[in-house]
Amino acid sequence: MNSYIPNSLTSILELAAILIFTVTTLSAVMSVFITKRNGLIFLGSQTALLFFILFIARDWVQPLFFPKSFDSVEDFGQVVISVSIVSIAFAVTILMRIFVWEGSVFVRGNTQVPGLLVGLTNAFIYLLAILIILQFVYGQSITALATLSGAAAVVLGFSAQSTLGEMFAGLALSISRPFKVGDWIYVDGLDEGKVIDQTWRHVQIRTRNHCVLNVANSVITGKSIRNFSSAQGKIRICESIHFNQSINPSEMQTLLQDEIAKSNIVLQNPPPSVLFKGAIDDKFEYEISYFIDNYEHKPIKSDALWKLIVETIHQSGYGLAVLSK
Amino acid sequence: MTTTPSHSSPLVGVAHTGLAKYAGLFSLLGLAISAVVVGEFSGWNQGLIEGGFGGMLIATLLVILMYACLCISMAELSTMMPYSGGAYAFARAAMGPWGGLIAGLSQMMEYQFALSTIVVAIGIEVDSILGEMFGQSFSSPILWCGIIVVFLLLNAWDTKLFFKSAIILAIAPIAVLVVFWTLAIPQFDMKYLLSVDAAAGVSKWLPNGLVGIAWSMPFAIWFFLSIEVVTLAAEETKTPKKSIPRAFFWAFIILAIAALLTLILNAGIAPGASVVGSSESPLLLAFKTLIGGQVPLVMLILLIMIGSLASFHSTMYAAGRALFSFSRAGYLPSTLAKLSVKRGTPYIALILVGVLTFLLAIFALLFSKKISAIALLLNMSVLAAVTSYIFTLISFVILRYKHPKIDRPYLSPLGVTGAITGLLIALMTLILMFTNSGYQLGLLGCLIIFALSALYFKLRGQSLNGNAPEELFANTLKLNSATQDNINNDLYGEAA
Repeated sequence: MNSYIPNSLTSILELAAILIFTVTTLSAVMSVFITKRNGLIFLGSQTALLFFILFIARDWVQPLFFPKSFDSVEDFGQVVISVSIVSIAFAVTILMRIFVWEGSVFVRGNTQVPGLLVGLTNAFIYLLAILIILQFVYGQSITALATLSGAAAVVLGFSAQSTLGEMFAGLALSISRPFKVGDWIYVDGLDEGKVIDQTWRHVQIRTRNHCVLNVANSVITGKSIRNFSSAQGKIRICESIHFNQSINPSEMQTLLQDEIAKSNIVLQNPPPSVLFKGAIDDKFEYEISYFIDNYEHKPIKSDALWKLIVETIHQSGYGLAVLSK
Repeated sequence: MTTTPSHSSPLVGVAHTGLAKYAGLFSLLGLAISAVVVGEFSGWNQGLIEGGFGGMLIATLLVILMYACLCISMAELSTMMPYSGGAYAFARAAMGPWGGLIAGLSQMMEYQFALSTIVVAIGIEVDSILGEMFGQSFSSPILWCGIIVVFLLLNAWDTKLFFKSAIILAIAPIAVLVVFWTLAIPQFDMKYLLSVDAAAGVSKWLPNGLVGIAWSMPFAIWFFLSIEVVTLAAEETKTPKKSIPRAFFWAFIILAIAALLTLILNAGIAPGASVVGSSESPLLLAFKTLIGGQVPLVMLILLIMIGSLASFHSTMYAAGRALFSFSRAGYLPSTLAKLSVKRGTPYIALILVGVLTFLLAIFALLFSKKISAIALLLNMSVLAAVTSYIFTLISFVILRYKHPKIDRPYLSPLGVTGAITGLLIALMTLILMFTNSGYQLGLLGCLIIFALSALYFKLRGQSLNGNAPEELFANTLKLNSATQDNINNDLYGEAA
C-alpha cells in the first residue's frame, strides 16, 4: 500500500473533487465532440477547476499518480497551475463570445461582430494568461520581457508601419461602427455596395455588378460614408417624372399616389408621396418619393414601380412627356 | 382506454388518457421522497465496509453528482413526454421499439424486485414487533399477504388517496431522520467514523485503498434509488411543466442533505462504522445507541418500519404504472392496461404487481437456504435501475442531437454535458457491479429476463399500439425527422 493514499478529511475531499472534475471534464470533451460547439464553456471551466484542484492537492497527487512523469512536486504544481490558468483564459474567451460578441452587448438585429475585434481581444486574453504564468508560476520577471517586447515593438512598428496603421484603423472602425457587415454603404468616390467582410487590413464591399472592392481601413476612415441600412431599416428613394402641361397637377398627383399606395411594391408606412415641383421647359415635373426596407432591392423596386406608372398612365389616357429620373 | 391525438405534432401530446390528473408539486415530492426513503434507513451501510468512511463519502459525492445530472435530464425528458412510461417512453422515442423494450423492462424489474424485498423486510419487522409484544410469531406468507392487500387498496382505490398517503409517508420518515440527526449530533465522534479496520500503515480513511471507492458506489446509490419514480407520475400531473422540474429539484436537495447527514451521523456515533457497515438495520442500531435505554424496542422497530412502509407504498405505484404503460403500448397483453373507470387507477396492473410481489417473496423463502434469494432480488433491482438510467441518459443525448428543435417545456441547464456526466458515472457503477461476485448472479438473472422478453417480443411480431401516447410521440417524431433536412445546422442555434 502506498503511504500517499489520502489519510485526512482535506485530502479525501480533494480526491472527491478530482474525481468529480475528471468526470465532468471528460463529459464536456465528449459533449463538445457530439454537439460541435455546445459545452465549450463547461469544458473551459471544468478543466480549469480540475487542474486547480490538482494544484492544491499536488503534495500527495504527484507521488501517488505521477511519480515518474515529474521530478518533483514543484514541477508538477507549476505545470498543472499553468494549464489551469490557460483554461481560465479559454473559458473567458468563450464567455466573451457568449455574452459579449454574440450576447446582448453587441447584437442589434443581425449584427455580426468583426472577426478582427474578437481576434485581438482573444490574443490579449491569452497574452495576459501567459504573462501571469511567467511572472507568478515560473518567477520570471516580466520587466525584462516587457523591455524586450518594447524593443521588439519599435522594430516591428517601423517595419510594419502601414500594416499596423491599417490594423488600428480597423479597430477604430470596429469600435465606432459607422457600418456593419451586411450594410449597404456608399463611400465617397467609390461605387455603392454591400459590406461583406471586415479584416485586419481592409473592408470588402460587393458592388451592384458583383465585383468586390477591397478598400483599405485607413482609406475608409478618412472618407465620408453614406449608410443606406439605417437603424429602422427604411430608406427613402426619390424619382422625377414629367408630364405635359395640359394635365391638371392635382389630378395627376392623386392618380399616381393612389396607384402606388394600392400596389404592394413599396412600404406603406411612411406612405409614398407624389409632389408637384413646377414647370421645367414646357413640361410639368413631379417627384415620386417612397420608402423601401432593403437598399439591395432598389433596382427591382424601381423597375416594378415604373412599370406600374407606365401602365397607369396608359390606361388613364394621359401621355408621358419625358421619362426621366 | 381512449387516446385522442388532437394534433399531428407530438409536442401537443395526448389530451386524455384516462389516468386521473391529480398530482401537484407536493404530491410528486411526497411520491419521490417516500419511494427513496428506505434507502436512507438501510442498504447503504455496507459501503462503509467496502470503502471505509472516506471511500463511502467520495462514492456518495459522485452518486450525488450522478443523480443531479439524472434528475435534471429526466426533468427535461419528462416534461417533453408527460406520459406514464418513464424510461420506456424516453428510450422508445430515441432508440425505437427495442430500446423501449429494454428500458421498460429494466424499470419494471427495478420496482418489482424492490417491492418483493421490501415486503420481506416489512414482514421481518412486523414479526419482531409481534414477537416482542405477544411473544408469538406469524407465518411470513400471511403477513406479506396482509401488507400487500392493504397497500393495494391504498393504491388502487383512488389517485387522490394514494398521493395524500404518499405525502404523509414522506413526511413521517423524514421526521424520524430529523429526530435521529438531532439526537446524534452531540454524540458524534471522529474515531467512530474511522473504525473500519485497516492494515498497519494504510490510510484509515481508505482502508481498502482507492479501489474501495469503486466498491462503495453501488451502495451509495441506495441513498437516491427510485427518485426517478416522478417520471412515471407525469401523466397524472396537473401541470407537468411546472411541477416536475420543481419536484425533482426539491426531492434531490432533501435527499442529498439526508444522505450526507445520515452517512456521517450514523457512522459517526457508537458502535462505529465497522459495526454499522455490517448491520442489517443501521438506523435501528443508531436509535438503540441513542435512546435504547429509554424507549422500548417495539417503538424503535415501529419507527424504522415507517421507512419501509413508505417505500413499499410508492414503489407499488411505480411498478403498477410501469406495467400499465408497457401493456398499454402493446408490449404486454393490453388487458393489463385496463383502468378502473371511476377512479382513474390501473387496477388490473396493480393487482398483478401485488401477485408478483407475493410470488417473488415466496420464491425468496423457498430458496433462502441455498442462495440468498433476497440479496439476489435486491442486486437485480439495483442493476436494472442503473440500466434504466443509462438508457434514459443516452436517450437524452440522442434526442438533443437528432431533434434539437422539438418543443422542450423545460430545458436542462446542464445540457448534453450533464447527461454525459451522469452517464459516465452510471456506466462506471454498472461495470464495477459486474466485477463484484455478489452481482454476477443478478446480472445473469437480468440477462435471462431480457433474453426471454426479447424472444417473446419477437414472436409476437411487434404489434404495438400506435395510440398509446409514448408510441404516438415516438412515431410522430420519426415522421417529423424524415421531413426535416437541416437538423444538424440547427444545433448551432442552441444555447451553449
